[in-house]
Amino acid sequence: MSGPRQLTVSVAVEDVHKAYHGRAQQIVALESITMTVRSGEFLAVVGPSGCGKSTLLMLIAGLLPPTRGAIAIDGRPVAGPYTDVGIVFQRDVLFEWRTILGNVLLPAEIKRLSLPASRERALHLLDEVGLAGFEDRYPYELSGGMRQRVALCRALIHDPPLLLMDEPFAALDAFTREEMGAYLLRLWHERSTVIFVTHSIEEAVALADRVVVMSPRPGRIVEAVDVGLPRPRGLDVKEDRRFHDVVHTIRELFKARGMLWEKTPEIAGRGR
Amino acid sequence: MSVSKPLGARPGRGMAHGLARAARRQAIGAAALVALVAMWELLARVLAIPSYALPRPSQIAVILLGRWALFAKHLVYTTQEVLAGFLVSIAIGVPVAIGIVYSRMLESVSYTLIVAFQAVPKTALAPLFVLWLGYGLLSKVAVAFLIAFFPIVVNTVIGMRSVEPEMLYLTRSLGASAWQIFLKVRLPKALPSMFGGFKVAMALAVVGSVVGEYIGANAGLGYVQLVASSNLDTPLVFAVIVVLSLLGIVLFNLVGLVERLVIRWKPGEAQMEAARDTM
Repeated sequence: MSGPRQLTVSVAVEDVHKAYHGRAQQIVALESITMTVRSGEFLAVVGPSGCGKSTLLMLIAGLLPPTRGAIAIDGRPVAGPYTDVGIVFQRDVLFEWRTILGNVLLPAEIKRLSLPASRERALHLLDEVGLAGFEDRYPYELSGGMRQRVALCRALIHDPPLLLMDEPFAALDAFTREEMGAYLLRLWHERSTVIFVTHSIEEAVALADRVVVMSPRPGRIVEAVDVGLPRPRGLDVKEDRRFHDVVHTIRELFKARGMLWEKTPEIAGRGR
Repeated sequence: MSVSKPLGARPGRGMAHGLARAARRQAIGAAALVALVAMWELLARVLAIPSYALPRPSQIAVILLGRWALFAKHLVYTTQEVLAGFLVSIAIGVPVAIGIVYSRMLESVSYTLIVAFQAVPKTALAPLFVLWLGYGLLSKVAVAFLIAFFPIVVNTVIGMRSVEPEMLYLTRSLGASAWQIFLKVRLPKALPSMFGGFKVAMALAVVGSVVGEYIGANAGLGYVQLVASSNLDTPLVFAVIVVLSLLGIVLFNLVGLVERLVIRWKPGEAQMEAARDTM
């Protein structure tokens, strides 16, 4: 907020493995993940449930250590929490005992930023997502979509160079979800590097510069697809021919791995 | 911008409606109580039940009013025991709970002990406390503390463990210290559950104090009741029950009042009623 700050960072993931100790055997969540996120890039990660997408975000944030491999942000290896980050989860995780403004200001408080300046920025962010006048309300008074918009403002209050989003709109209805995408694009302003995890191919293509396609457990990167749609983008991008071409390409990648069937497959031994 | 409307954004009419409903429910409850007392009075008169067996409400009322100075003196004494026992159980119970949440060692040692101790009927220990600590205030405070302690520990531990993992990820990702996480996440998250424990503890502290007084005392409402019952002064026994009930209600609501002052982020009764109305 004061002084020049680094707008965006690059993220390098180098041959990362992550295994959990299950009850009987080891569960491999991620296998040999190597990818680079360019500084300022909006990267989406798509894959079916349980492909380790969320784990990947936790590893990048430094909240979990990889079993093998290394992660670096702007060339500096991640060891322990990387604190210049904004995170949005599937659940809004608002603190129910704080007002809307108090929730948005939480990162500023923890990082001991100037409160008057943060307050001003918080009110501006809330205004941008259509929540002006709600700052003194408590989370229970807001709808699911409104709460997730507050969570988005909270992730951006300290102007982080890296934004990690873990299926942030998955719990919302389809209409609210579209709205949220528009709010995100408006707030983002290409001011930070974004890694956006989702299981919706359309959402990934509409928002991102590049889409990384992952296979089910153990999670591996199948391919990275360039979207190549112009920015700034609005929701009308979904009417673009190119949008449908990219969505189609990604669907084909999944189908080739037997994940999205064209018809319901015959179930062997049915009725027996 | 958005078409979605916040819940309770315009509480005006709905809330008034809810309040009216709550008031109506309370009025019905009060009327039922009055009817019950009236029936008791009537039956006791019609059936000519002797007062040493079952005194009439009017006889109890006469004693309550006539001997108010006696009740006031012993009420103060018992209230002191209850409040002291309650406050000591918070002062010790909450730090123990925090220790259990934060230290695996303390958890395995003290939680096992506490669960094992939970099985011991605490009132059975009251004679020991009178033996060790004497007939005065201290032995009753000890019994009240012993009974009130457990719900406070258990509810505080449960409350502090109810923090969603994402809340911890979020604060840790911002570089929050353990102290910041305690102050800004665990403690506020635990408060509703803690107050639940405090309410139970307050009710139990009354029980503990009175049981202590039964065992050995020279003052307090339990002592008055014990003396009255050995004299077959049943109306006085009943009068003490009334005073003890009132004490319990007042102290319980006192905790509820503090709870409402501290926890402002939960929908109130009236709003809950309003929400139920719209469903």
